[in-house]
Amino acid sequence: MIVDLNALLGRWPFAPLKYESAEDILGLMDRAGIEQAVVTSLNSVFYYDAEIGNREVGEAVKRHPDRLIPFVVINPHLLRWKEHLRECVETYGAKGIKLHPDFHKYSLVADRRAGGEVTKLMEEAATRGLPVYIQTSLYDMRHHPGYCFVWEAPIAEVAQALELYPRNTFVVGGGRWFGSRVRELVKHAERAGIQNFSIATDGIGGPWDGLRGLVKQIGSSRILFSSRTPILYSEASKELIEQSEIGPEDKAKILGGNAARLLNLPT
Amino acid sequence: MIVDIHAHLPRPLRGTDAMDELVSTTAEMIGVARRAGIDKQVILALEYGVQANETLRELVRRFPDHLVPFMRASFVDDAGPAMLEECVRKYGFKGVKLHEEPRFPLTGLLGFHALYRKAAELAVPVLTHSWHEEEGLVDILPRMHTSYFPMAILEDLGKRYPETTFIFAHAGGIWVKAFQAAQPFPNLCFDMSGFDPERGIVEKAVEVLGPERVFFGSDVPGRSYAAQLAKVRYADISERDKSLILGENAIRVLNLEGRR
Repeated sequence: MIVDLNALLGRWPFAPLKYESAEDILGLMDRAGIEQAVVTSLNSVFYYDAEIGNREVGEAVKRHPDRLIPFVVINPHLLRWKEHLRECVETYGAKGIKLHPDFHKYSLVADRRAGGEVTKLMEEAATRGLPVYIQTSLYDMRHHPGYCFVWEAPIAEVAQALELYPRNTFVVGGGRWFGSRVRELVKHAERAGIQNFSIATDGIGGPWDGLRGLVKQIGSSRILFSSRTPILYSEASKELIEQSEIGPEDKAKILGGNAARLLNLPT
Repeated sequence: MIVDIHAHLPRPLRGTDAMDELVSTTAEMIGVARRAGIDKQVILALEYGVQANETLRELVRRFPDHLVPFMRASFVDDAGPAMLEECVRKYGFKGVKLHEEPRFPLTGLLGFHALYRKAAELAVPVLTHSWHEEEGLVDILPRMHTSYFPMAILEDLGKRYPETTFIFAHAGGIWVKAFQAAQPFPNLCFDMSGFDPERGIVEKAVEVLGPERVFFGSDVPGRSYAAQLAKVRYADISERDKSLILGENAIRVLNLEGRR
């Protein structure tokens, strides 16, 4: 079974994506041989009324419960995030939380001592047993329009967050040169002795078989296939895994086994 | 046939005793490329000069069926055109690569007349690193990387050197604006190497430029073949267009079948 941890539903504000609806996404999944996908809302990244986008995802999942798995995009600095999270879990069966600290412009660690909203969100996620997907960057920063440029979330801060919130389970995904960011993250994690995170594959580019190097570093049990469909070609990350010189068991775990375990999917 | 028009030397050569190590790393890089379906790769030296050219020649001697050498030129050496002529005529190099240098940003591209004329005379392309400069990003780009150039250079190069084939790497940065700037000049082409496999860029290149001016490139070792090939293999374009971009355009421009 192939499970994609990162598909996106909705509109990208800076360019037409061509594939924006749930049915479009399913078509791309079929083309790429992907059976199930975690889907989150692009609209919830950009709308002030972020709840609209998450509800759109929830309704799409209701139409396609066998293919789509909902995560809810939360901006902890918008009012009522806790109530909305509860709604998404109880009404739509949300299986995890997606954070975009780059576009939502907040620190993952700054409010820890003050018991701020990020800290409360992490506590809520841990209590509910929801994994937290940190998307450090949605789109290669160099392709952001100059009039609306957004820096990616610093990987050093992500590393600190993993350490600060040991009760949480994280997925870390990113954009430009994510492979080198991951090496930095893994070094920090090794020093800190933490393993409460998995790496999403959609940002891993080089070197020519960068995935093999990552498997050597952290094993295959904490790497999750993710495509960032429809922003990126769905097949890119999948073929990165399939063409890697790692063992078939490792590939099976990365392509779906690890996701099934993380999300308690029937196998 | 799939031809990768943008592969870097996988590591710098530091002293002649390091050649075996370089050959071994290159063999590994080629092995992964072959498994990905890539038949030939344009190999780009990391440095300028006789030593760098000799390193490429040695690698091509070891992997003659796979590697296609491009000479690295320098903005600051007037001997570049003569060196290119020797590399092409004597050693079978197929093109020349330009990149920004510490004291020479790509804004200086227009000052390289002799090299462009020599490339046209030898019928080899000029592959240049390229990244755009855009209003609003001027303050940000230098903090991310040092190489960018004004779009107006595309137009000037197109007008001044119509006999020289230019291949601008990495879709020129802000791809759609670069394609539009280059569109009136048939000698201006782009490779699709190096950025994330974003949907829509190859499609836009074909729409604006036509498929004959678009080239597949991997930008290894910094990138993976799978992700870079996916940009073309899974683009919403015709199979004919894919065939041109993946190999036929490179075969034509690099004269790999010896038809010229």
